[in-house]
Amino acid sequence: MNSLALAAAIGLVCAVTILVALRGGHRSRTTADVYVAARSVRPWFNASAIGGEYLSAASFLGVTGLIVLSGRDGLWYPVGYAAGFLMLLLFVAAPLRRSGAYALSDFALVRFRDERAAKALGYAVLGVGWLYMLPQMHGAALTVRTVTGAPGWVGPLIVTAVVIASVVPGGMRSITLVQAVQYWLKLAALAVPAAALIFGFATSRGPVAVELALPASTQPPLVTVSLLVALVFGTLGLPHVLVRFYTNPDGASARRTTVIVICLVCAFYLIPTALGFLAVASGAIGSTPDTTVLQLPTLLLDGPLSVALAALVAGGAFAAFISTSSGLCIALAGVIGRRFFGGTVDGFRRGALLAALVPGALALVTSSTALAGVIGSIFALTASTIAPVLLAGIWWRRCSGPGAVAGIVTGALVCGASLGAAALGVGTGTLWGGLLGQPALLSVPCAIAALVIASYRSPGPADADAILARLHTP
Amino acid sequence: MSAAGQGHDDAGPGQGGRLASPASPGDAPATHAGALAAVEAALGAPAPGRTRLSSEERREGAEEVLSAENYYAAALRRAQLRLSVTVAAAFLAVVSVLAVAAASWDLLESVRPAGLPLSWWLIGVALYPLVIGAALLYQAASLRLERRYQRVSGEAA
Repeated sequence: MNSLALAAAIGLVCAVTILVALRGGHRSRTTADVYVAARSVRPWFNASAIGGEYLSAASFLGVTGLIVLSGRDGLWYPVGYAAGFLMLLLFVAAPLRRSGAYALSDFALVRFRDERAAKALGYAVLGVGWLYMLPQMHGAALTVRTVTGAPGWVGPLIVTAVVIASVVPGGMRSITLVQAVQYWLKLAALAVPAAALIFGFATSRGPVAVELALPASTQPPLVTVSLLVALVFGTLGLPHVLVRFYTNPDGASARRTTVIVICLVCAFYLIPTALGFLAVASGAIGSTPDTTVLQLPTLLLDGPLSVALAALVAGGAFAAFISTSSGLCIALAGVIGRRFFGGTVDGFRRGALLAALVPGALALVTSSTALAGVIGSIFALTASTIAPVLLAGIWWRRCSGPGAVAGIVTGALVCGASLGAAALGVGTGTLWGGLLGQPALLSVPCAIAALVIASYRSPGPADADAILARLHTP
Repeated sequence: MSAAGQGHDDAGPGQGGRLASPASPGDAPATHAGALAAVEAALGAPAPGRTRLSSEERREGAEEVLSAENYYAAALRRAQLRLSVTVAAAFLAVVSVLAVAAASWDLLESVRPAGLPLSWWLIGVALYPLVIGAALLYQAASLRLERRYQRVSGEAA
């Protein structure tokens, strides 16, 4: 009975997703339709869609899990996720839209006039996108296993199937509507249970014990700052977020969209934070930290109400996996379609199939660890590859194609080597070990240095002034 | 032209003509010096020395000097960058101070509203209004810079 209701909630979310996608995409025919929704998405709508795809497994399940696991250290993650959009607003939103690109690799072509830079940026997007889709698949596996007891491969299979069914036919036009709907679905799926649980807890238990046993927060401040650098500049480079900015009508509306996104994302993160506070204050911890959100309703309440709330949370969690995965699928399909399949509508569809199937298959042969922690590493990789190139390309006249390639390669190597060393246990327990495991503070400066040196050695396009003028004038 | 086609068409060589149009090559230098000072003053940027102007002209070639429009655009870009860096630096400074304070100041740990440490409430709740405030402030300021640019470059052309 219990698991049946939860499975029904998940099925309902999947069905609604596909229906909305088909409805939104039925008149999606041209290249501009499938890649950038004909650049006609209005700010409120677009902001909901960006919020919808950004709030992933790491946000929906991971934030509460990290607060339960490491207390204060975990609280920095949602702050970093939200502040990332502030940096996006400050440095990227309006100029990127004015570049007129369809995908990040197009931006490199427009700005650097350099095929190799476009290729490097395209590969960086593919790498980051596929790595980012993996935790979504793992989150789906975890949710299905926790609520229904089904084997681990069922979740990734469902997510892959729904993503393909909703992205491939209508592209960006259909998925914009899906994701806008899913932001509000996710917000409701977390806000209603949170309100009910906190109200119930506050009225039934009375004042909380003064000396609560808090989870240990042991992260040195320098590692916290490194994490924040990764999250803040990683958000700014995330392909599935950037791809949405091409759908704004103009630069000023891109900025307005971002401000609304910041409000929506900040409002959302208060809720998993509140659930984390509640879990710590009440001592109701799930069987693993990441499943705490899913299990809180049944741990704190009983009767049919708890089942209904648990079903709501499970449905919302699935909306999170699907919308982030389909956003990534769109971004990757844009890059694959334009770089390898000639930039046509058909090329987009083939790209989307490839983009969804690879991580679905990878998820079956890898295993999940703490959701938000893995996401932290991927943000660090994004912050040290895509973000420096984007920032330098938009703001620095001298930045050149070879400079961009050098920045991407150096950032990826340093970030990968640090994470690898930390995984092998180099310097565990020391400040150095902490920085190796959270390497943005090392890898981002290395990437920037390589980019600057290579740019000075090989000048960029002669009309860089005119290109920058186009990016920055209203 | 449809918005969708813009990306690649505009980036082509045809752009030079549009950008060079506002001032004819002959009267360009005189117009530039005065107009540039005006737009830099309006945008709050330090007025550049004449040496810089002439070196940029040499680099771009004698006749097809950077158009007035491009000079305004460069001034606007610098003003926008200064604004963005200021807001970002202020925000990151607040966050870094909070990270150090939360790890080392006992008061933030021992004062516990509703059972949870003060540092939790500061990081988990109080930072979000700060993010939203910074965003609104920046949006208004950068729009103002663009309006001034449009006014000044419109007058000069």
